[in-house]
Amino acid sequence: MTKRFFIVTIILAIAVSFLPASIKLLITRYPRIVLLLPLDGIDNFLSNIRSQQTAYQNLAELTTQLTLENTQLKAKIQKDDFLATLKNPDLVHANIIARDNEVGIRFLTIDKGLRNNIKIDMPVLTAYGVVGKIIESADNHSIVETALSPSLKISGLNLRTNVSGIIEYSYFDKLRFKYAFAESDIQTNDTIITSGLGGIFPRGIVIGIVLNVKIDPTRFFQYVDVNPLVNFNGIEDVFILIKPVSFAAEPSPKFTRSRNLYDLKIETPTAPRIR
Amino acid sequence: MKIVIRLLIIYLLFLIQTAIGRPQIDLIVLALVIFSLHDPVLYALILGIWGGFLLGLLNPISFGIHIIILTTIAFTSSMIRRFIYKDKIYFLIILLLALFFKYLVSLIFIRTVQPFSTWLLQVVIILILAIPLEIFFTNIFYRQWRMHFTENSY
Repeated sequence: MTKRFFIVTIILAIAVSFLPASIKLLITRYPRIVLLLPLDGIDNFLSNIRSQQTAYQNLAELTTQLTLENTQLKAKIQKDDFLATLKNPDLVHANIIARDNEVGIRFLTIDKGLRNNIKIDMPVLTAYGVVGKIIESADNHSIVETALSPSLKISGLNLRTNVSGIIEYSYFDKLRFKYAFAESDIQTNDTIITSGLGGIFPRGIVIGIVLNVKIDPTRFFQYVDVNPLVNFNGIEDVFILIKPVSFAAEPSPKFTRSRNLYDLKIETPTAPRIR
Repeated sequence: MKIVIRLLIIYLLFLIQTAIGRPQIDLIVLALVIFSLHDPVLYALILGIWGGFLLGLLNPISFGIHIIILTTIAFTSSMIRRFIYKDKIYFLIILLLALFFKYLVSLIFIRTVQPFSTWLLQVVIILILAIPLEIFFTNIFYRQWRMHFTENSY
């Protein structure tokens, strides 16, 4: 019985295979529409995801650039003549592929490395502000030390009053603005930005908002808790600032930062030719 | 009901193997050999026709060739299992022969087949996947059969 069924099937299949192509196409049209429908769905779904991912990356990059520019323009309005401004910041997008969850979000592993020109000490940011800096870079991945790492110190500045200090990890997911004198003008909700000192972070990137200020009259410095604007727990992708800084104002002599990364150069502007 | 589940599995594997792209992993042949080595001959034939029909949809110009190939593989596996199927090594040999047969027939009749090196890579991937999938399917569908077979074989 089964042998007969097999033989009949084979004969029929051979007969079908000798049919003209137009008839074969006609036979398979409707089954193809129905049975390949899930494949269309899967393909559409995947291409949608891909296009949305690209659009999201472009938007995130644009937002980051605009945030940087916005912060720096705000700072410029505050009559800060010597403000470093990012002109066309060169950002590299990177996805976070691993986190160090055991000791808080202190280290992140990203999917970009030396092949993407990512080097040690490059600043890492998101649209909301500073994330940290690169501490290790391999061919295809790098490790970011976040602002929540106790060993990372960032030179900060109060955007409203230009009071400077050092930002470092305080507790849980909070930072502390240290070495601000007791008489300095710092208030709750002030914005803390990077001061540009130290050579790693260019001036004007948002770090966080002042959460509370405690002044102890017996001490030199005040306690300033800062809430970082970056949500380190929910962060999924970051941007690495490849071309960090160039000065907006054109005072002479023009100089760039003294880090290997940024090519130390002191340029004296050429004197105008007098005829 | 049994046959419907197997038909659905073949269809699901067809979707997966088509969505994966290249190198195309011939999951349908793999599943067909596993089912043919366990199920009745009639089931194997129906599954072979179904698998061939699905693959034929992707290449309508040579529609029918895949039905011949897969039905032959299913029928042959089903017929020879009572003689040689005692260990997984025979399953691998049958699978390898089935893949080679499919490649050979495709080469002769369809002509536009993949190069031998790609086919070889595909075979290696299938052989790697074969044992885990065989264990998976036998544990789900043929546990009772296997126990009975093992008892009898000793």
